[in-house]
Amino acid sequence: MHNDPRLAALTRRAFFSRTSCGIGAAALASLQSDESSAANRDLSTGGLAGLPHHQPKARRAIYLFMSGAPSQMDMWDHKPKMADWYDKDLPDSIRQGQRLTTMTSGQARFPVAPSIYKFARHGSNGTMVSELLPHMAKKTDQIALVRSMYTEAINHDPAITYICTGDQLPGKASLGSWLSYGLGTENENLPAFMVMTPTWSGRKQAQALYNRLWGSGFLPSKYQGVALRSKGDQVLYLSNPDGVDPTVRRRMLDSLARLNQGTAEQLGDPETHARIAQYEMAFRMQTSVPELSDISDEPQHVLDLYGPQVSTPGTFANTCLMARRMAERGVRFTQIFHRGWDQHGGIPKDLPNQCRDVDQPSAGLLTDLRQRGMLDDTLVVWGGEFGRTIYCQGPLSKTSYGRDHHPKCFSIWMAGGGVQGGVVHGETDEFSYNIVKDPVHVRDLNATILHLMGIDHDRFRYPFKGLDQRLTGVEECRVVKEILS
Amino acid sequence: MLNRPQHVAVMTLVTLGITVLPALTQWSVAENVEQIDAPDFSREIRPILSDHCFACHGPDEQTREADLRLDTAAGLSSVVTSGDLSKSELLSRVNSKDADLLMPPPEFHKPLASAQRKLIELWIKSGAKIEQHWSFRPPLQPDLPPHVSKDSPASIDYLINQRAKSAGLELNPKADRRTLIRRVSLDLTGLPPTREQVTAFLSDESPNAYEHLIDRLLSSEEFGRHVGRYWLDLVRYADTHGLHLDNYREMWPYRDWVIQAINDNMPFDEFMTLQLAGDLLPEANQSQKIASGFNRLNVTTGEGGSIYDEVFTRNVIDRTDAFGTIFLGLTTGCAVCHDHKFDPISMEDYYSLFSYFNSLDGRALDANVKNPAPAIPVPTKEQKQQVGDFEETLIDLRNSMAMPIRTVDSAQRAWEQALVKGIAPRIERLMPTRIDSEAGTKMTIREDGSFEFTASPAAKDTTTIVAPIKSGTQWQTLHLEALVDEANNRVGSSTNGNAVLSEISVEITDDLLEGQWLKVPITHGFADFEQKDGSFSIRQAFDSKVNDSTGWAVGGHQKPGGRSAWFVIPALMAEGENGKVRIRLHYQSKFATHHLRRVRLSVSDTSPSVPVEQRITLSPISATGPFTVENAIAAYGRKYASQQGEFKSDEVFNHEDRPYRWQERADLTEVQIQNLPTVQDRSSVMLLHQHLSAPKATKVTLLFGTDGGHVIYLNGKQVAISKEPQELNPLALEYELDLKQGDNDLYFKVVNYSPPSRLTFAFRSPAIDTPRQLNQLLNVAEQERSEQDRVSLMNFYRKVYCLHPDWLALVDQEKGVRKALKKLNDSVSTTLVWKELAKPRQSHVLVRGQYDQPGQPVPRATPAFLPAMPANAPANRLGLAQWLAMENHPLTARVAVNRYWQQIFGVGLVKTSEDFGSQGEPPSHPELLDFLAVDFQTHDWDVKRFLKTLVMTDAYTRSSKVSPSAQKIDPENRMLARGSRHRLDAEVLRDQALFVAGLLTDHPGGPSVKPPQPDGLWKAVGYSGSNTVSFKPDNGDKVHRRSVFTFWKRTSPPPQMSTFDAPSRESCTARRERTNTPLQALLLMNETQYVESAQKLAMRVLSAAEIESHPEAERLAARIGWLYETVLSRPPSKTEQSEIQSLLSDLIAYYSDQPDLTAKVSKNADPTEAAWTILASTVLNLDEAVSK
Repeated sequence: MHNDPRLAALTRRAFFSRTSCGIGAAALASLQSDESSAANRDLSTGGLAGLPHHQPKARRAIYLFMSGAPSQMDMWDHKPKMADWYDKDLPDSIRQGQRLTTMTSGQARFPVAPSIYKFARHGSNGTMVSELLPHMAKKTDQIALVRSMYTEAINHDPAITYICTGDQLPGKASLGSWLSYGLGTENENLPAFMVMTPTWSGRKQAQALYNRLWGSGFLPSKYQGVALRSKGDQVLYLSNPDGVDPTVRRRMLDSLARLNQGTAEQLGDPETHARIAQYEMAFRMQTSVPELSDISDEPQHVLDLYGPQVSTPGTFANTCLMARRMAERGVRFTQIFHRGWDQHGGIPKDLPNQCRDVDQPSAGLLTDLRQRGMLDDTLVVWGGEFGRTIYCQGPLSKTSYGRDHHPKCFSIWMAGGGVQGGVVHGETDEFSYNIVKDPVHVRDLNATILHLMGIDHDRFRYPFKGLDQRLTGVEECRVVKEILS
Repeated sequence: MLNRPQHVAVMTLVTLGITVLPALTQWSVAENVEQIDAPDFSREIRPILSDHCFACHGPDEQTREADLRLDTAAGLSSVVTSGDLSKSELLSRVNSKDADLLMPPPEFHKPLASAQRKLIELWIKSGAKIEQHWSFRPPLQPDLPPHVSKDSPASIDYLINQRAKSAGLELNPKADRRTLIRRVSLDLTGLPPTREQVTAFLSDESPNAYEHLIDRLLSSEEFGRHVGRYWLDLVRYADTHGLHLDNYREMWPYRDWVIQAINDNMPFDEFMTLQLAGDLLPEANQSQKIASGFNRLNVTTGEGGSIYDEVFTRNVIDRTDAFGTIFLGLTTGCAVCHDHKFDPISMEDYYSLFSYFNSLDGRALDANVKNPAPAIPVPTKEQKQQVGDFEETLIDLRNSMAMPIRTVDSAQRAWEQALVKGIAPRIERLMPTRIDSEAGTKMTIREDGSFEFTASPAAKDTTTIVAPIKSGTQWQTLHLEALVDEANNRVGSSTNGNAVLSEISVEITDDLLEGQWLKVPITHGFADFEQKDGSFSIRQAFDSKVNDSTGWAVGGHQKPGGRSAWFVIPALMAEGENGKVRIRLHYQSKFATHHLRRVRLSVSDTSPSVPVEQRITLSPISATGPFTVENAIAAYGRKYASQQGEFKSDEVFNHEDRPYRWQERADLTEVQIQNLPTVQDRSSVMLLHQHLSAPKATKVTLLFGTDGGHVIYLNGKQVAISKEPQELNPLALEYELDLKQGDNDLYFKVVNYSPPSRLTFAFRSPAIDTPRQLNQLLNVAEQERSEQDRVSLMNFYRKVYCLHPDWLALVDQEKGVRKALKKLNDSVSTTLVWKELAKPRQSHVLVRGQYDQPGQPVPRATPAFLPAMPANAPANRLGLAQWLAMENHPLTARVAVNRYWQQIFGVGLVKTSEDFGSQGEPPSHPELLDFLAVDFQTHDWDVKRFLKTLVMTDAYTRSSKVSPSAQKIDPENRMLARGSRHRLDAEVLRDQALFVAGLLTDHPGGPSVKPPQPDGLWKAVGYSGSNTVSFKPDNGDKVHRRSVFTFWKRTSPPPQMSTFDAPSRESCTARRERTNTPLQALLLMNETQYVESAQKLAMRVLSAAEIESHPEAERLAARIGWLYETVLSRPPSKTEQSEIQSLLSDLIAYYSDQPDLTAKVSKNADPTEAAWTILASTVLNLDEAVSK
């Protein structure tokens, strides 16, 4: 009946005697299982020849993205002199005719709204951190804080598209898809690039996200980010339909593989072999993804690192833990998009909630990675798409204020693989309005991330529409060497 | 040109496939260059120069080094000496060992491979022939040897076969007929053939059987639904705006237009012209205007905070780039910020092209509405007819209403005279000729017309009087006087002197009515006194309800003396000599004998003269704003200034950190159209306030109209809301306002979507005095009034005061028709179109592409390196379309035929179908591409003929079996020695599954539909205020339509599509990648509609009538055969048959042991059904099923 004795061996009796998770012989015939784990890391597959360009410091990255633009002067960029400037107009010498969004360009005046939060020195270098971030404050020795990020975009859609894909207009490939394209995966049972969109506690009216932020643009779509969902199927269409249990699925796949093997033999199309392999990987994902999201094996002391919300699926804390579990399993790039940071008004009402969402989990993630010895080769990035203005948008009082979009400076931090801890890079003026030292463009940030992953941003190209497309575009940019270890 | 021997280099070019640096790897394998003849400059040398040198020595002046250009003959000649290697600096520089002299410089990270340097050397040695880039030269019909038949398929095959053979490939034999019919059906209609169609084709023994099949497919409606899809990817058609809120965009009529045009086999030049410039055609019809929506397919934003000019510029760039990609196959976008580095497109060229697309008569921001202007309604035939009828009626009615109306005008004169002091209204006392008491109590009529009870009244009673009434006068007011006399100065007949008039009714009869009584409505009423406790206001007496607990209670026990009430009766007018009124006074209160003792009635021809102390006084309007808002929808729920609170004229409000104050705006008067302040390109809100001081609680009617939305608050409560932007219809809306006694705070919140913002308002109530400025106007003699004043006064009278039945009849009709029309129009779909500004905008080069840095002005012009515009072509998009269709245009036809080729063969002859420029991949078969381009043009751009030619070729119909050696030589099948084989597109996969299951419905189009998708995908990304933030699946037949009709949200495209490489439709996509991922496997196995299809397909197998006729023993095999033939168009092999049988029996055995599990798959809990469902799913998942 079958040409291949291994296929013939698969009798009915074998079908019923095997465990439901067994891998079919037919599948084995057409692919070599390359299951890997953190212990077996050197099995990268699917990357580009010649990559990495140099020895990478980070094998994987976790990007905590704060969508909506967090207020840097309330969190990371302490501006003590502003207390004396309460309700005084931002001097023209500072604003320098800077273009404004049309949400505040009509304002008669631009009164300074000092942060109402207390800052204190932390860590061995005495980094000033806001009281809103008590847990992250204890991590200053592990992070490189960049206070001099800037961009050109002043509205959310273009700005977030810019920082995530290297261009303000839709159509380009996202950071994660570039990494997945260039470096491949370390675990074929999970996608190389995963995305999570947790809940948030600030205002309900949150800025939108767009699939393009983790899309593959001009790159083949297999490099796009795969959403790990907290409701329904964790990965789209992961679950078998009602009435199809793993035994049935396995049996079906065995026949499917044999039939496809027949097609492959008859037509000789290598894609058919690839398809057999993809179905087998799909089957393995049906086990590996639920296993990934099942945190019942996490000891209490680990859960505690991430704070009280860790066990609630879909919270930022929960997704941070997920990110660690993915990193552990070799997922190349995980990006978490936390929304709700677009605080045009009522910052004191909103910001503490947002900070509570992310503070302990971010710090917990660093601790957890470190305890496992993974922080050395896992890059963690935290930040948003632009900053906020020192001047107030909306009513200003001693207890309440809002802030408009500000592209000219914002703060982010990086930690882990190849990043020097305890560093503060860049400086803004006393209004946190202009950068006075060491500006870092979003392109520089992306170049630095690529660099840490072993990639030279300038040589990492993909020909499309007549251009050698780069994540960092055609304009000048540089790796921020000063924060590298 | 074909005689030249093929050399290894060309081979590697087409065989290596995807590479990161194509130019580098293409050549790096070529070892034996020495043995080959002169390299082709255009195909082999120029790409090297382009990729490695042009960036610094190319068209871009700004970055040009050493003043050396290698993209022109002149420049090249300066560093190359034909045949002389030692005198060619180009060669010595690329071969230099000195890092300072070496080109390209090492820091450029683009070193030349040794094979590339060798090629350059060889090229110089062999004469250094220089040519223009291949795609910029007009296509030439290649010389074909005389033995080659001139019909197109044969010529194509000749050009293909030559190349394939010389590459050492063996041509595959023709595929079998079953494979062929499946392949060509999928390629031309996106659907597999039915079993019947396969049988018919197999049994058609005529030599033209295959051609007949093709003709049938080409004439099928499914053709356009499949082929149109490629165009929709290319032009980035979608159902949302794409940026920020990503709200719904109504654009599907354009999609249907594309499908129709393709099914109608519209010639490609016309197809192109209508889309680029349909609006500019003389007397453009609706279909041509819909086509012009092509220019509106770019993503747009309505994000609050956007800078208008920046968005404007971005939109125009997007359109210009789309034009470049779609029609020219060029990446014009590179020239936004600097001269193009590889192609000869200067910034000036770019902005000249840009200027064709910069003069939209509409705003750049989309205001988050579904149809940002310009948009046109696209009614169905029936709707169109109905709208036309309604509109005609409305015009007639409005004309009548604007014209003099004798009766109404004379009533106006009477009203005017009554207003002007000294002219008394006409008052007639009613002299009853009959009086009746329902209870039979005796009543008498006095000489003055008053009537009274002359015996003890009953507990409840109804008095009816009949009185003659004079004809020819429009009576407006009925005055009721409750009289007292000296002996008893309380009006009521009860022991405490009180009375309750439960209801009063008025009827009329006259010569026309011939004795029939007609009810006359009472619209308003006033009394000089009414009881405040309980439901005893005058209103209760004309609410058409007679009951024992409500009515006008006159407070006779509280206060002595008579009472007066005035009732507004707009329709009281008699014709002829026998006019009569019948008036009934109902005394049905639960309080016994609460009757009016003595009553006198009179009528007058003016509005009731409400006693001064009862009049409502109005303050001047105060206004504050405009308050900007990020999107208009948000404004309705938001609080502005003191909108629901107490009014304080000196209060200051903060909004976005600006103080706002109340401004008294006495100029904002009633009736006239008022312009309110707005904010350019932003949505905004104005708040207006008016005090209404009412001496008692009463109802007034507010007549209102805005061209945005509005919310009306009275005394802190929202009383009306209109949430849609609308066309201003002055005073068209009517809202009842319940005024309380004393001060009433009335606020109008006017929500403007985009400027202008206009408002009209007025009050209708007899208790509201005519506006002061009107009295002034009335004091001007009629003949001395200006025409404008006359019209204004007429409008005011008619809209607010006129109660003449002739007028009211018109008003009612107009209102009815308008309402019906609005309902109809709301149901009519719209689509975005282009409309050109009367005067085009001047374009400028934008310095470094910055929107706010205009440089030199540029005229509309096409790029200088391409042929000039045809003489007499207009300087607009129509001219641009004529230019594209010019016979010698090198790009249009090449780019178009290449895409059709790609569609049919899987890969274009130019693989980079979006880029025909220097950096694009050169064609695998340049002569063939030229042949096709010329062929397409000379056959009048006939698309169906062209596609037919392609599928008639041997190359297309070959078996797709690949031998190991063919796989090695030509892994990508660019030589086409075998039939092309690849995974089907997302849409085809889904449609095929639904089709074989018998689920696919035949539907011609219309609004996009939403088949189910997993919960939460839109929510995970959506802006909370977006109208596409929550996905609600459709039901019924809508979920089983072809995928081309699926709703496409750009920021979260349907996962069934995007998982299989469908683009997001945010930018132009000329070709899709074809990936193979586990996520696709999961989708095909587990997605709802694929599961449903498997279930339905299984039921079809089990119930197929033709199988029942088989003997029992053969049925199983027949079923498996049926399943295979339905999905794959062929019967299974023996091996397959037994594999499927063993799967089936395993599954039946397994399900038989697990009834609970079985019930989840099979409705009938039947293990056989369950097993067949899995079987059907297995076959749908076969590699063969998902591939063509």
